[in-house]
Amino acid sequence: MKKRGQSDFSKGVCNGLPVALGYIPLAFSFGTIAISGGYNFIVPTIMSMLSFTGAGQMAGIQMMIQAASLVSIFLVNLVINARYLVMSLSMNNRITEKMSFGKRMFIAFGMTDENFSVASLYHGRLSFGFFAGLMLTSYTGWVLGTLVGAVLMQIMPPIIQEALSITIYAMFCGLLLPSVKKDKAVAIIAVISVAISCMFWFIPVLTTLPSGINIIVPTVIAAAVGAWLFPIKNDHDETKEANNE
Amino acid sequence: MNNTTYIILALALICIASFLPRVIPFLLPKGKIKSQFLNSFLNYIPYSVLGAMIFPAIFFATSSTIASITGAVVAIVLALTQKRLIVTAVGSILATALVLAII
Repeated sequence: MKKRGQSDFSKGVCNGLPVALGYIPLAFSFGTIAISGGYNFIVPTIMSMLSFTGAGQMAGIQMMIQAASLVSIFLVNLVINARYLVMSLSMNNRITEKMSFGKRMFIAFGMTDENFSVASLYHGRLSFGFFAGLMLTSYTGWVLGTLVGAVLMQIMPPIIQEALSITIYAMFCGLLLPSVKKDKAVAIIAVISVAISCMFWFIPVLTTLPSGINIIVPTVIAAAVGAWLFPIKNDHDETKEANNE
Repeated sequence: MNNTTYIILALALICIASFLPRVIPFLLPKGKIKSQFLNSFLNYIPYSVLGAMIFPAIFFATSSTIASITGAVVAIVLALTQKRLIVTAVGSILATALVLAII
């Protein structure tokens, strides 16, 4: 049993490495923004340790620099992070193993866009060991990236620093496209989601909405249309769960 | 309010706002979801969220649209032709850096 947990942990670490790699430039630029806004390196690093969320922290530090009211900082972050509701709901439905309250809270805290995507498309067993490996690895990348970004500012050649901003999207392509190729339903859902997402990017009125809305609206609409057009008949997760009980 | 208090409260509120939406669904009573629609919906969420997060943001990832599009095309081709995430990521970074260096 213990041996299996260890191997699940190392599988998690392997899956977490590209995520951590993708986080470093994001965290790096977050740290840089905080410093250029007049904060010392402790503030962005503590924020990364406590929050573990890209868009929310970016908006948060920007509002702090502008001395925005605490209520507005809180509300904007709630809106930006509302997408996690849907992801955690989906993940909670997929985890079939019985886990203690503390372990579930650990998984909830690590439920970032990237960790969610990697875990939900992972073919192996979604055990706590796997989540621990995945989330600790990516969390380390996130916090260290912030610290290094804040302390060293721009020691990397600017071209490499800029090119690294593509990492997270390239990783997302690597996660999504193989499924698009295999499954027609997934392809149609992805196309719907992208089309709506583009509307939020290019239609002037919609671009003024707080970030986060532009993710949650396409996600919910495309998944709902997909569920309506291509209902999944026999869910193997259900049978797995029945065997567990 | 003094500045340190403001910073501490802001950090605490940002933490709560990022943790709350992730925690609430895990507190729901765990049981089989009977609705076929809801099950399918939750199953499709990863794909639709990825689509919305990649496009069109990937084309504006760097200050040069041409470099971003090049990186995107390389990422798409690599993602469709081989399976390792790290290869897709590194290939796309190198292609983007190359175009950034040329312009």
